[in-house]
Amino acid sequence: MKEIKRKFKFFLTLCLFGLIFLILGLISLNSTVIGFGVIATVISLLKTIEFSKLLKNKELAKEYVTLIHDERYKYINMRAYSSAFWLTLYIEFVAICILSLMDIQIFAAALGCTFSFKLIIYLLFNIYFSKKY
Amino acid sequence: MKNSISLLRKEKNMTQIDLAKKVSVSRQTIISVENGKYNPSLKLAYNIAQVFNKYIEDIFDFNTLIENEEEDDLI
Repeated sequence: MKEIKRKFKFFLTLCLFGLIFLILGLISLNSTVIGFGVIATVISLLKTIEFSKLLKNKELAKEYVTLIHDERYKYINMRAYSSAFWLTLYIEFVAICILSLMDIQIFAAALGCTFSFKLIIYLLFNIYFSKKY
Repeated sequence: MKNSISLLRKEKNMTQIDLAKKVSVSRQTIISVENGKYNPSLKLAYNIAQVFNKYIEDIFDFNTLIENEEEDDLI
């Protein structure tokens, strides 16, 4: 229940911030701020409604907590994250090669930086977790 | 990994939802474990064994797990 209350408060706060952005955007007629405000308000409002329903219904709340702590659900999430990470790395590598061959050095260098940065972070985490476990 | 959860569950007239609630996981997880698609953690395997008053090795066939891993290594 604590977790649901925490998430409810978070999305309620986000909703308020979204509304503030929306109002500021409308005052300054800035389409980027309006867009950000609308998206933040709509998403957080929907989430706030969802969590308020869960707070009222204890059975539903229990089911929700079971689902988010479900080990298969966590496992699937981790596998999806891992697969997405490696796939983006491969795509970036191919893109770097193609851009270099096409002599578009600036984009190739920029992509190369993110590619190297990702690999370095991965290696650092790998070393950290190897020592931890 | 092959297991006898489905059999034991039917013996006890227990539904997948009942078992899922007892071990605090989703029904989908129980379905996947029963079908051998998902290998449970040690904690979940222990909890399932506790529900049926059995040892883990009485429910889960670890030999099939080793065979599957060897097949995966070859691929």
